[in-house]
Amino acid sequence: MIIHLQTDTPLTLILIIAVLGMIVYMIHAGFSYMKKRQHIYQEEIPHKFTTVIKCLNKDYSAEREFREGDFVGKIEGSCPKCGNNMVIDYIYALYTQKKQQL
Amino acid sequence: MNATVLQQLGSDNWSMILSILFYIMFFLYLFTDLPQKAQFVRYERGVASRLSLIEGLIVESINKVKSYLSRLGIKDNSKFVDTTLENYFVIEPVSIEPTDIIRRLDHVITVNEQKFKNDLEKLAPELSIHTRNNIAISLSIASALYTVYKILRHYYLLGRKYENWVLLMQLYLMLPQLLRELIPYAKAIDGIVKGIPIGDSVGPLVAYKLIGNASRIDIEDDTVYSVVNIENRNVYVIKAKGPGSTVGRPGKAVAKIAEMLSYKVARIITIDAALKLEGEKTGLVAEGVGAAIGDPGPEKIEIERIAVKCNAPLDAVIVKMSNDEAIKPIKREIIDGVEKAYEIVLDIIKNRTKPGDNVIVVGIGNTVGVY
Repeated sequence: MIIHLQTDTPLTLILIIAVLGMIVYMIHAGFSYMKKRQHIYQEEIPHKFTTVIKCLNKDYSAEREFREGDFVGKIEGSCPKCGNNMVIDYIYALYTQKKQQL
Repeated sequence: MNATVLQQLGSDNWSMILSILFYIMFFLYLFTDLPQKAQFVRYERGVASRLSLIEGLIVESINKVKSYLSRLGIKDNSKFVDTTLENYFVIEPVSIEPTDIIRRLDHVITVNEQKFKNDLEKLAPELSIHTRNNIAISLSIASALYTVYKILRHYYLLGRKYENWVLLMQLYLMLPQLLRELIPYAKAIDGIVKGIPIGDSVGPLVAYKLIGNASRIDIEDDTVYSVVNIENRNVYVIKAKGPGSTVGRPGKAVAKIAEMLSYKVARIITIDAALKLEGEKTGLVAEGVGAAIGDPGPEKIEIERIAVKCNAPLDAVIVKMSNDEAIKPIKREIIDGVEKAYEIVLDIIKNRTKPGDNVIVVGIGNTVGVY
């Protein structure tokens, strides 16, 4: 079935365009709102903690995984090279990106 | 049949139907509250869903603190945590009469801190001061989250009660940003309870690099200093007492050391973490003038007063990071910033002071995980 609209009056044409425009705008606004709601937030999560140990003579350093009780300045045994004390020099975290929906 | 009916309608009738539809929509949109009602429902649902996410964060952070207290062997911790979340607020002193406002503000802050510490000591007298400081900071994070949640919930319920869609719209627009800022707070508790340095620990880390394991002398509540000789300059390095989570009282410590040195101080250098602007790189180090410290006022003003009294230049070295990076376990980029800040401080001491001078260096910030 084909309906032939006789658009001989300019008012009819303007009204059709206006109504269609409003419908298209409403659909577009609805979709963009849904898209906005599914906005993804990239959250940084620390996944590994590293402890850096250095000899007081600064001739040797080593890295290992963080253990509870570690703190910067803690004496951690002796240097395998010179025998001087080894001290925790830094503790830092390595981060990974995690997607989270808000 | 249908085709016949439609054909009978004719173009004039179509035009009439479309006109009526258009005018109805026009009328509904401009002369009724329907758009506002629709927006109200939309905003109300959006705010409610985001508030439930924040509520989840609060529950998560409170549970983390409670499990930490349980691991430390503290019984009846639920009651203590619940009481802490509601209590320990500070009422700001009268500001229309500014005389002595700093002293009054300092007094109420000190009294509040002392009250909290005493309660914590009663709860767990056998624990070390460092562990108690870690508990205090974890609880204050949970408490801050809870306060923000309560305020947001208050405005949400007010907006719903009075059908104030403008209030709900403001909340709806603000909540995604607030949520992003609150998530790191809940995650920060993990780092604090494990004793891992956070972004805000850059000041104490630079101080540690200057003094190493030299003996710490108590000077103020939770604050220590060490004296080191750097190319014949007497450098007094102040930091919070680690490795527990505390910021100490650096301003009071500077005042005491300056008094001890009969106000013969050639330079005062402060190192702190500073908020970066969006687009700036994390770990960027900058040097300026003034007291780099972000307290409510009493500590900062003390450093400024001493600098004026000693006529000593006041240098500020800052390591830039975002708000969430300041409370989360420290990143590699910030560690690189610590190295650069340390080099800058050494350069200031060597090139802007003379041999025999007394220099005060203050590592501002939370000393969690730093001796």
